[in-house]
Amino acid sequence: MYGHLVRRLLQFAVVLLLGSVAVWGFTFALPGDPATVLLGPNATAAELAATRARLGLDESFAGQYLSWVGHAVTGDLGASYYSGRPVVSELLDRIPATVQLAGVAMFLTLVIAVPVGITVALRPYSVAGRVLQGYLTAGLAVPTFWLGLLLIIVLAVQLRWLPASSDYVPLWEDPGGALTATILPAVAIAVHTSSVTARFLATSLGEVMGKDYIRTARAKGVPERDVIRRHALRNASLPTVTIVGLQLGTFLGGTVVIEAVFNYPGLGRLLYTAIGERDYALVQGGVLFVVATFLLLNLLVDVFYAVLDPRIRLT
Amino acid sequence: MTTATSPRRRLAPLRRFTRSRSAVVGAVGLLVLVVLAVFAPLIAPFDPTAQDGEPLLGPSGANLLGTDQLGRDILSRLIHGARASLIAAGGAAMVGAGIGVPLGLLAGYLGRWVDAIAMRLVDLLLAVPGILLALVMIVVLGPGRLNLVLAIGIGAVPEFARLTRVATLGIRDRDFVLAARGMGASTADTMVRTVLPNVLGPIVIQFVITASMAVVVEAGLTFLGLGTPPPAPSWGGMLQDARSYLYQSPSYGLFPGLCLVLTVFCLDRIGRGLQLAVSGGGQHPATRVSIGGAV
Amino acid sequence: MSGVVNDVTRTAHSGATPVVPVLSLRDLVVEFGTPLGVVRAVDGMTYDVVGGETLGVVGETGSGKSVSVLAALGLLSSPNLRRVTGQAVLGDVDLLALPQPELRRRLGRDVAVIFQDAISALNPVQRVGQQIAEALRVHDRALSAAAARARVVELLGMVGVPHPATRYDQYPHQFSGGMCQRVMIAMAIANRPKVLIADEPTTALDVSVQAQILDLLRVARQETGAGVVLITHDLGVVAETADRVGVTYGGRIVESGDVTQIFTRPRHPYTAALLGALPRLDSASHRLLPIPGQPPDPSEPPPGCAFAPRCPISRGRTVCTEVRPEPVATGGGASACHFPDEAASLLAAKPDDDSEPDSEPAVEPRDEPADAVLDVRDAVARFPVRSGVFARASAWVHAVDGVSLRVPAGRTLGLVGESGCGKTTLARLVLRLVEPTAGKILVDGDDVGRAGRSQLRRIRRRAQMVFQDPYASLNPRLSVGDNVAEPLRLQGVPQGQRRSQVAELFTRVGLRTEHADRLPAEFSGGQRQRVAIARALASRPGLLILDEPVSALDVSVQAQVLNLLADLQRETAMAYLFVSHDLAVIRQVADEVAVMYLGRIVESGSVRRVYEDPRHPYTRALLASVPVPDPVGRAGRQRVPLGGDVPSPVNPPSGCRFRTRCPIATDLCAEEEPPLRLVAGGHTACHFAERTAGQVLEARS
Repeated sequence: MYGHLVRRLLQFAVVLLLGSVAVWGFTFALPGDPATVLLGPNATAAELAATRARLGLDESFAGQYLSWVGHAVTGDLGASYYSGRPVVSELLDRIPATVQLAGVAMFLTLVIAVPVGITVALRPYSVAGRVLQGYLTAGLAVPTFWLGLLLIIVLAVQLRWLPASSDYVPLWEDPGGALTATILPAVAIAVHTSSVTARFLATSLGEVMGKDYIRTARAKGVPERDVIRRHALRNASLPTVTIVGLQLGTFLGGTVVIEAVFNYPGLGRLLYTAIGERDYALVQGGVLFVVATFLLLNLLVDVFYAVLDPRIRLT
Repeated sequence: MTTATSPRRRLAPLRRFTRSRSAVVGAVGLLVLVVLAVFAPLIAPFDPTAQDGEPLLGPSGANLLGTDQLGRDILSRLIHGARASLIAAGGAAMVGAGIGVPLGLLAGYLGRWVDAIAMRLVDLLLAVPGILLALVMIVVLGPGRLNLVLAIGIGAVPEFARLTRVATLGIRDRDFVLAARGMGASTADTMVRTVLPNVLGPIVIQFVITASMAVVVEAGLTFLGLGTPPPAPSWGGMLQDARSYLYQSPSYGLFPGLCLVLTVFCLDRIGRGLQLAVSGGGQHPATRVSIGGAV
Repeated sequence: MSGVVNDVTRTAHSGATPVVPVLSLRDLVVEFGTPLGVVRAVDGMTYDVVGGETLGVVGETGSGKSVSVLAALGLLSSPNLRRVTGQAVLGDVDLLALPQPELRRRLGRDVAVIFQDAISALNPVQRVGQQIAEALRVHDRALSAAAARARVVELLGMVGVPHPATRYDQYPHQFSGGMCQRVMIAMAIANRPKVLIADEPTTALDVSVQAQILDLLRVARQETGAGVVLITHDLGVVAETADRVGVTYGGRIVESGDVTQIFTRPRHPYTAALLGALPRLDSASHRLLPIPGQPPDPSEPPPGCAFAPRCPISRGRTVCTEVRPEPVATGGGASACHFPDEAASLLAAKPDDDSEPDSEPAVEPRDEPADAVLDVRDAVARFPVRSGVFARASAWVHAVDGVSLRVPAGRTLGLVGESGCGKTTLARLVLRLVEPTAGKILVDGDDVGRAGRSQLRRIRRRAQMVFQDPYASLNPRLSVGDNVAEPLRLQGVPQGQRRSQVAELFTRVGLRTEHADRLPAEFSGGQRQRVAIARALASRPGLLILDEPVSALDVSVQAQVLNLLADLQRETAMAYLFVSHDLAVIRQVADEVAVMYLGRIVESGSVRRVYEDPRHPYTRALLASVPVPDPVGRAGRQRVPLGGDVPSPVNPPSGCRFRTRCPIATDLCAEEEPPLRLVAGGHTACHFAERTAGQVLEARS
């Protein structure tokens, strides 16, 4: 297992390194250099030169990259072009809101996906199975942000039950307020992701039910309920774990569109605004953070996977 | 065993596809959509950019689905908007497959360092959520239809590459591939003539899945104001407009969304039908889906 | 109808006292719905098994032998299962009439199943011991965890799993195939069932391991007193282990009776034909008598006898093609044939008229070096075992480790050995599908290892390969005609010429040319193997590498392919390198034989020398392990099965590689590797080759 995990750790490091190069190189792919962007079209040559020197743009590429990475490692991602505040502070302001929304959305996703996936896999032709398959089809077809708009139209505009835009309320300060603030975007997200996860679970459970070892369990006389609980679900959950990990990574990376729909102050909204304002330092730092989070989460999934699967753990 | 049954068996995949009623519904729906998009100027009752009605009218005899905030006919804009969605769908899937399939084929067949490099690139692309990747790409490339297609398509590369790689690995050491080499076929010939046709099934399915993903991402980007540039009609752009007039005209936001739902639904049904056709039937109703999408 | 079989089998078994069967299948019918219509996989299966006996149910692929019993136990979970009718009486209840929870209460307790392919039949994420303990605890809720564990450890010891207390906590992937099968058996006998069903229990295993498992099954039967239903395609296994036999064809039992009678006086033409088509280990080769045609298509069952289209005695008689024969008691058995007496005379008249002039060269052929089409000298192939963080080669698999052999034109060298011995790697080395690590491989004098790109292409035209699994070796996306034309295309033969050459090749291998544009999926295994052979012949090679070409085929079809290969060799004087694990097949086809063990040839020589005067203890043990399809005198046969599994080729034992399993190994064997040396007209790599002749090897214990 350790060989496997160490190899994964190395791959993680390589991808993170590649990612940092890509994120850093991103500013050079932009039309116009950062100094021009920062100062606008009316800047004088002297101003530009001064800014270039301040940003370290007159150094060699390698030197610039190394100093950027060196700062990044110590938690210094530079300052926002727009607000002048450190990028890290800007990000830290939004992370709690994003984590809270991601948590609620993931909770809803699992609570819906697991029973739906199991029912669809085991009883596809029953009434419940057919209805839930309809839910899966609909959940996949309805775009998240449009569902968000519908929820606003019905629940906020027409019925006035919930607010149309969601501000961040910390869960530990005001659980009720936090829930009303996050429930609409979380539902809009979870309808889609639960459909994806449930389909995955149903597919792998359906495959597992045809395996020889399920037949063996039945031949031993194990009641069908225990065949599913003890033998099928454990094996079927393996591929599903990967999907859930990827989804959680996406949630944490910022649900850009849904945050825009609900005016929710998360990371996605921050990055979207930064892109609009051409605040490339913030975009750079934010994307690097998202990539690192995603990769770290994948690494955790690998560890978890190895714990679940003895074939990986014991070789 | 091989007497007289030949034509039946040869057409088996097609028959399995058409056996699934919902798959046929999906295919017909998509066909209708394509016809609408191609012949939009002939079908739409009004010029989609002409501002010659009252703003924000509800459905009426003149404007079947009402008008938008500039007095443009919503139905006409919907019909013309199908173009943006279909271009994004087909284009992004082609970009994704065009880069991802060769990448996966090389990685899977050659293995070793080619595989290691290709897969790390794929890991990196996968680490940026699709819509964020597209946003950044558009910032770099600049706005415009072609760049939009490229930006969405790049996000689809990882899934094509991984899928092709896994399928290639699955048949790389099969006897018929060895047999091809044993007959004196070169590596390139073996990859293109022997391996590729045998991994095409899952790729075709992924193509359809990617197309449906691209429809949603295009709408999402346009909704954010970074997709199909105005004044060209696009369903995502119409939703963006509708969002500003939720109180004045709640029904405005309904129709573009329904169009998106129907398009994605048709593609999803086609993908499922293809999966049944490729797998030879008897497969479980639940099937593969894209994990991406715009959130 | 079924009553007749019933009476017959009972009286046949025990004379006067009525014996109550522990399991009876009555008129079982199983149907599946497919896109091509309803397929009747089982068509009136009826048999009984009584406690303490072994009933062998033998038949070819698709004859319904496994499906029937799985359906009876409610273990078919295919969504397109349409109908299961008839009765499956266990003790005094009909299993098919029971609701599922009731049925489950009996499964594993009264009737237990040992499945084929034990590795995939065990749950990969559950500890092996717990899987067995579950079988105990599910039927005895009062059993404590500790007591269950103690009992499981005892069971594991009983079935011959070493260190049972430690192995309890391991997972299936840490077990070899043979060990997994032992675990399956422990699981099956845990509750001392009344019926044990063994479904192809040794099919995926090597002969030496197969012999161990068959012995263990005998022990399991004695231990539990259960009635055993042994389902297999292998006539040898049946002859070695069964008391009574049921032969299945077209979804039903066509003949049943005492094992000796079935093998010596069959009264159904199918049984007789099967025996005629079987290559023998114990007799000099004569031409096999294949059964013509293909097994029946279960989606279009014939109205009369299912065997009529292939039957040598039907000859188009209308009663055969129109009336389905029911089993009739004949002389201590039952045969579902309209003309059992004619069938009985079939085997007796087994002809010498068709056999080739038995011109086994009395003298060893001494070929000049120039005559060898294939000349392998000290070939070595090693694969790195990559491990650790940087995937460095930390060890090497010695797949082929210094092998030399020669095959002259028109002759066949049989290469035989168990899985993992390196025989397939050696076959692939010849075409350089695997890169050689050292040594020389000459095809017509050209060095394969040193050949450049274009020269290698020329060599690959002269040497062609036929693979084991005809379902995997043809490109499924190309028509069979295009598959055959592929080598021609690669040689740049123009399209029009290709078509006519393909037609010619089809005719030569006995395929109909009008089938050329069909896809491989439309053909049966035997026909596909003909396509693969046609493809190999396309470039007019002088050498064919045949890698297990018949091991995926049923006996009746296998004989067709073996005869075709023999005919082709006579016409063209091609040299064959014939790789197989099946000693009987090798005896049938080969002129010379080489026996491989862990990457080395341990014995080689003429067929007669290796089979009749084997000097290497490994060859002797292999020959003793092969089940002989002749129940007469099986009690007196000396069987000393090899213990254990083949050691890992990563770190082969020092000195003689066989010493860890050898009954006569001494300290010398660990120190000094015996060279392959001339002994009694052949070559043997054993220090004691002179002493082993004729003597019975006994395991030291």
